Amino acid sequence: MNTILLQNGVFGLLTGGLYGLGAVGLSLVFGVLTMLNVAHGELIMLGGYVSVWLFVFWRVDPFLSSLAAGPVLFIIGALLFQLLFRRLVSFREETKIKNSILIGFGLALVLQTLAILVWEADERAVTPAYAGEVLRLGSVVVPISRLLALLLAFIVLGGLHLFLTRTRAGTAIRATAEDEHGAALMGIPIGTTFLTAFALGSALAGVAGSLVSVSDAISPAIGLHWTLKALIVIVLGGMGNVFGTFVGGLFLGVTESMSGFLLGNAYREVVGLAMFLIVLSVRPQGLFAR
Amino acid sequence: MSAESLLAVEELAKAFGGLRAVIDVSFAVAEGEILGLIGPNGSGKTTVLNLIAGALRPETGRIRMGGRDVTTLPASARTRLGIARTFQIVRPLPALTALDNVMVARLYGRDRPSHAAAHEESLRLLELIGLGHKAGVKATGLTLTERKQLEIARALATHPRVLLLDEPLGGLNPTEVQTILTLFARIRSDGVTLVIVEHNVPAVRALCERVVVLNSGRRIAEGGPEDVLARREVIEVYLGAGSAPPPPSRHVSVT
Amino acid sequence: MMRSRRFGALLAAGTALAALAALPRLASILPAAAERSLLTWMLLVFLYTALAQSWNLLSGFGGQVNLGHAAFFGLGAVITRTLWLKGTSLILAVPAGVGAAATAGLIIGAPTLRLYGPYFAIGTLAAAEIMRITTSNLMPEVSTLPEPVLAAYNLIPRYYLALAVAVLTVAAAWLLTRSRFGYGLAAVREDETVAEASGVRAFPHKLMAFVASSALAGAAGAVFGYYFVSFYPQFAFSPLWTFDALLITFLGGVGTVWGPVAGAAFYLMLREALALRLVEVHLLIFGILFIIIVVALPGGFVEAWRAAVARGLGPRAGHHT
Repeated sequence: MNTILLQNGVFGLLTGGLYGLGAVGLSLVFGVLTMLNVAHGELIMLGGYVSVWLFVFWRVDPFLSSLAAGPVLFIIGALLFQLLFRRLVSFREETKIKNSILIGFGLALVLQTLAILVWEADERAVTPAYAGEVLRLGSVVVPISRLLALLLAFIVLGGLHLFLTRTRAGTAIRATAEDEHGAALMGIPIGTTFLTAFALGSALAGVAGSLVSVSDAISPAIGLHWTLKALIVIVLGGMGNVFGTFVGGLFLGVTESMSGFLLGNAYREVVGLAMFLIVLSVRPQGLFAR
Repeated sequence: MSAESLLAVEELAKAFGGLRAVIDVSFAVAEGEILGLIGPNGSGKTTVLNLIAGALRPETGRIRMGGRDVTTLPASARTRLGIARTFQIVRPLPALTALDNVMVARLYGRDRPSHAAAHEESLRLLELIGLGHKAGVKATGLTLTERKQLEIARALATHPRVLLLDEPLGGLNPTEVQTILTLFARIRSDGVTLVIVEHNVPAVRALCERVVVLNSGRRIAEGGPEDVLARREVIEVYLGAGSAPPPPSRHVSVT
Repeated sequence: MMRSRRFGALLAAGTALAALAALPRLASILPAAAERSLLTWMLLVFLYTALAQSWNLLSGFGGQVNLGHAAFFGLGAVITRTLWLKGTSLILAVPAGVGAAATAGLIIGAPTLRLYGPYFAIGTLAAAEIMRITTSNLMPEVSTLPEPVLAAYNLIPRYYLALAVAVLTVAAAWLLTRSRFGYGLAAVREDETVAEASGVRAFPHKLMAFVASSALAGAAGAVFGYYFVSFYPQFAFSPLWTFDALLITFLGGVGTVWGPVAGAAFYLMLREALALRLVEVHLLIFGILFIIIVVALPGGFVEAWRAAVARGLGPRAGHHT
């Protein structure tokens, strides 16, 4: 009994780290641009396919290919911003969020269909040689690849934290999130900062996707799943705080795996969503309020 | 509080985070009166107006309207009891025509007319305010002055007993100010009580029978405009806040 | 002049309705295959009109973007179909499906409509996902019409049910634009604070619009449940239905009475044309189309048409009374 519980907790933490990484990009974009890109999950899906592709063609290790998924998605994000989201910047806040949600909704369908056309609707997974290896801690089993993924997620988030706090570009992003007009008055190039933030958020989705490919199946349809996870995590972990988001992810992961254990796997998804609705209802002004 | 006062606020207090915007403010407004609510920027005038209109809830204190305690009522219920307001930064319903902006207020105001009657009266109100020729134009297509007029027409369309006006003269040129002041006098003669937040001191002097002066959220003076505006503490507040002091009585006529 | 125009519009609507009601009789002179495809096509136009118009009631006229619309459609479909296949008369099964959808609207709307504007959209998205997953857990099996029902399958009653539901949703939208409630809802859409200051109680208006919208989505679902031969229950909850409702409404014109009708007809024509050679990419094209409309032409057909008419009228344009 204890072992099963512990084992569930460990799996929850391992999955939760990915939830956190998957959410942090969405949180960054929302914090800086006040836009909610509901196609964020589709960007994660694309990141997953970068790893799948590199693995299938050249046997590139997924942890290595996550270094490629970031830049690839950075570029895709920059293009999407220039093409679709840039013109929303000047709208008033409510219209901006609403229209970004609508555009994201359409974009999700487009990316999903494109993925089906390119890669077929099947599930793909990346299976390096060490995929089956496990670490035994007493009676608890920890798959090595997932542990590495968690570790890498943590490193990426640490790097993001350093970027946001220690570099000029990062400071510009934080200042813009805090007060757009104030930042503009201080000579921060707002347009470039918006572009950087959106592309960076997409890059984070890309890295998350390629880490997901290590432990989970990648298919064109997983986007909505990951968008919802990211939204739940942001609601739980609070807005604009990198480590808060990570902790929110861990919390969701553990909650899901525990409720999967208690209620049956069919309802583990529902518990997170219900939690999301309850928290939103308790704080109707929106959890995104900083 | 006098028994016959139409609107009374008692010991109102409101804070935003650590900032105490309104501190224990009390005053009463008699039926048919024009009361000026003045004070330097940030003194809490607009907050008091928002508290009376129901856009904000006070932490403590009471608001009575026609003897009824309305402190916990939502804004819409207060409107139906006869409290109407305009917004400092004009807020027309952008995608609706000028006529429909007024129609909404007329349909949902203090009494509930039929559709046809509401339509007719809304048109009449637009004429009265000088916007008759713009009835079919969307609010986004109106000039700032026209939007200010629309704001007043919309408030009047609810058939208010008390009309709360938040800086209705800001941004208007002297001719327009005269027109609006004439309109206020006319509204008042129709039996509507007015509470006006205004920076234009000559206008306040000419229009209001009584003024309440706020500073840093507190009421610091109350009385007839000539008397109050001559008081040292009031002049100091205006000078100290860096705003222009109330200038000597310049002539603004109200007909 | 006002009166004669209104009379003319009513006359046109009445004539169109009579023609649609007579269509199955008129179509019977066609070859069987042509009759069938014509009626099916019309039925789908009605179905998608109802789906889109019901979304439009809350999200177009009321401005509350509901991304979980599919859940109410699905609820209407699954409840109606289940009851009907268990032997309940359609006259009871359809209202039961509609009632279930309306009740769900009330339960989901009460908390989510208090959310700050845009968060309502993701709240409804989450609520719909909960319902979709729960349905797939409770009813994992495909639902196929049993042999005797299939043998007696007749398109005509399905055509009339779809027509009735479509007329109901369009009539609801039409009444909305002419009622006090419609004015209040428009005010709430534009600015809740100003609406409240004008005497409009924002929350009850939004909630009533949500309940009506989900009830009519349930009615559209009932048509689907009665018409479709075979589907997985969770398919009726698929976010694709929400997407179709959005696409059609945006195509035709958000917050207009005739937008969803025009949008549905255009959508189905386009889908038909694309299905001939571009089966895989039709969703892609719809997705791109939707994004282009949101980004570049948020008024849809109806607004573009109005603008064209206004230009055509020349000096009289802008004279509204």
